Amino acid sequence: METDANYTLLQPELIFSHVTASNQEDLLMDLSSKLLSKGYVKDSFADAVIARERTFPTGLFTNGVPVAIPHTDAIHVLKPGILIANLDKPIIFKEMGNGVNDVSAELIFLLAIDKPENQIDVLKKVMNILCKSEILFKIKKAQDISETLEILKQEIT
Amino acid sequence: MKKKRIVVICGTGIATSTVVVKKTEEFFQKIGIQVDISQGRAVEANIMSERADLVLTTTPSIKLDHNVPILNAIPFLTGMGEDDLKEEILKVLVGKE
Repeated sequence: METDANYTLLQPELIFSHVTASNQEDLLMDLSSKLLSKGYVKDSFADAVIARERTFPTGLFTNGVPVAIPHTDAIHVLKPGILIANLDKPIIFKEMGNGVNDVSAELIFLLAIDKPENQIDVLKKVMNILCKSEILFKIKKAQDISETLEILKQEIT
Repeated sequence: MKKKRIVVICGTGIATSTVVVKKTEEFFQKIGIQVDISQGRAVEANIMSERADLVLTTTPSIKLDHNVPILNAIPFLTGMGEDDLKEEILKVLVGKE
């Protein structure tokens, strides 16, 4: 059921604003530990997502705000969720599909996906946000979690 | 026209390729062309695409031992250059018939 999938993937407890980190690895460690403490991923997730980012980088230039969508193999995931982090200062990710260009990511969508075929509708809707510059700007400007969640709900439900 | 085979590849075969598969399906539904789409990880790209007509990928690091055209599918994720990508896909698949 799509509604259920929406609720399980997008949780207020997975939205973070004013996130700071000194570099990409610290950021991914920090965000992964949030997923770990809330029971979404195994403790192997952090290292796996950092390693995967080196091999298959996930920075994306968009028409709006530069983003990154780090993720890793399903075996590290316990239950699906999408963590959204609004960064105070951009963190450099390499560009997906290219691996050379630097993307100064300002929004992070950290994906904990176990069975993509079950979560495709909401996954696609979340990814569709990347195509909508005005929504990305709105999320970036949102001051707190409830404001961010409101914007996301309008897009996803 | 013979049904065309498309292989969609990403690093883990789980997130971006899933979205690319969905977008590709929707595109071909819209224009009324039937295609076979399969999805896999970068390490499987070579074997999976042996008999394919087109490979769509979100990762640059795939190497094929055969001559199947490869297109960068990231425009399906970001929307930037999506129309150009669709045009390229049609050129590859329909153009060679």
